[in-house]
Amino acid sequence: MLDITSDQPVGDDLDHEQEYPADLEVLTRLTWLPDGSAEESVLANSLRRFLQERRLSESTVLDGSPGVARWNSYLP
Amino acid sequence: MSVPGQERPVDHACAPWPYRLLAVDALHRRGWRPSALREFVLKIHQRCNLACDYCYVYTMADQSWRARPAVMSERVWTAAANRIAEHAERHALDEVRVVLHGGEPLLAGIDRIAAIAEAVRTALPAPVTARLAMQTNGVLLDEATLRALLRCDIRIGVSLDGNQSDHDRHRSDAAGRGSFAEVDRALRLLSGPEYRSLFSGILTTVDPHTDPVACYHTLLAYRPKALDFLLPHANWSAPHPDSGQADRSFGSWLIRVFDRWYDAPRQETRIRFFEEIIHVVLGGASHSENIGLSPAAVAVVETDGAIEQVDALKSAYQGAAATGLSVLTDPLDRALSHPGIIARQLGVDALSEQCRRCPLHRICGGGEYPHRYRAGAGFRNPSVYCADLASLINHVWHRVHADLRARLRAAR
Repeated sequence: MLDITSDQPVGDDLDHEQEYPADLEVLTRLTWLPDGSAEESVLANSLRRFLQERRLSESTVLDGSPGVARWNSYLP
Repeated sequence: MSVPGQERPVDHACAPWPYRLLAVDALHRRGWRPSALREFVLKIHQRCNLACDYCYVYTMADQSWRARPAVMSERVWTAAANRIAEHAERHALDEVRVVLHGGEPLLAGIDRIAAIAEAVRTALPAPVTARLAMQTNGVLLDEATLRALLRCDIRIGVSLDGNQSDHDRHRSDAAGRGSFAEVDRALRLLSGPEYRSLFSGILTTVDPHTDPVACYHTLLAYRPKALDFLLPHANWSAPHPDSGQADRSFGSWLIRVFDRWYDAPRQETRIRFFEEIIHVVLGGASHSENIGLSPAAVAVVETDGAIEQVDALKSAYQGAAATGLSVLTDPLDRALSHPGIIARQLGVDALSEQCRRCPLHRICGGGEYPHRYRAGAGFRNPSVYCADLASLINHVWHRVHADLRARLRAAR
């Protein structure tokens, strides 16, 4: 049974501290920059293509548009 | 505190956070302002024709359904519609979302449902529009009902937990008769050409004893536009019996579905839980109260008019969802000053120290709010499903990262 009163933080055995891809953060941030370099443009296009192929919201990621959380409903 | 005219005291003593420890006045002095409510869940019927064994309305801590009217009256739904309109106008919203829910909402009868939809749309001032939806167990969803719902433009989500034996294990009626056959019939109608435009998706509660890929394939057979997987409600004072079972964890169940979904040569459907994680992993915002740190913008109106917080809080303790407000006497804006609602809009400030130290907190957002509850402490704890969420998020993060890396290599 998990117990947060124990000394060991929950999930500590789950490799939280492994290298989180800082470059992925950079990748997303670069796409927000106007007039990016050719290299930045490759990054941005790769991300955009990924989002399109996965039918994910580009604006949610690329524009950094703020979210408002919904209840468990299926309103489009 | 009690709802005016009703004998139902609201006691949040077992949840010091947020009710005693959150300094609402100090927040306002610091300039914090709440987000407007945008989604309204109307509990139009208080009873259900099923007796699912995990239902948070009937089988968990809160039993307030017993004291409420079985069905929402015209007086209440008219007041609710007017309060929603008032709130939308005050906050200059261009759209509100209204979910008809229960119990089982179809028990209210289609004439009442049509009248509620009409009342909501009529009350809204131009140019505010309402998107209406309903979450149903599907048992009463026949052709005549679907025709009426099509006329009302009410989208439909159906609950289904997998194949017949997996579904019927949990979702049976009071006599123990499984509901799969009736839900299957309803989903075949709903996914057909005539009514497909109404079909929003399928909600599935995860049972780690089932085969995740077989479950996904069963759901996929109905060609839903979207799926979502919900963890059964539990908390630190009432953990799920399968919590912490390494050989059949909720996290590994979800990972197997994720891989099957993510590796499909062509996307077969949307899975909201996974999509939300990917959005936040990539630096975006979430739009689900189960993931990320976006402010929750949801209020519930019960059959008696009570304005409440998200209904899943009923899994925590008696009265956990209560605000003491009612659409019969209070504007919805008053709920924005309620500590329970504010705590859902604070983002990282509502998280425990332990969560804030974890590198995943921006993605999990602390997990679903009711799952953080511990009696005597309240809601400032990690999710009781923390380990499951961490393993899933780690997995998604690394899959997405590897995928993007490969694309970048190919593009250079």
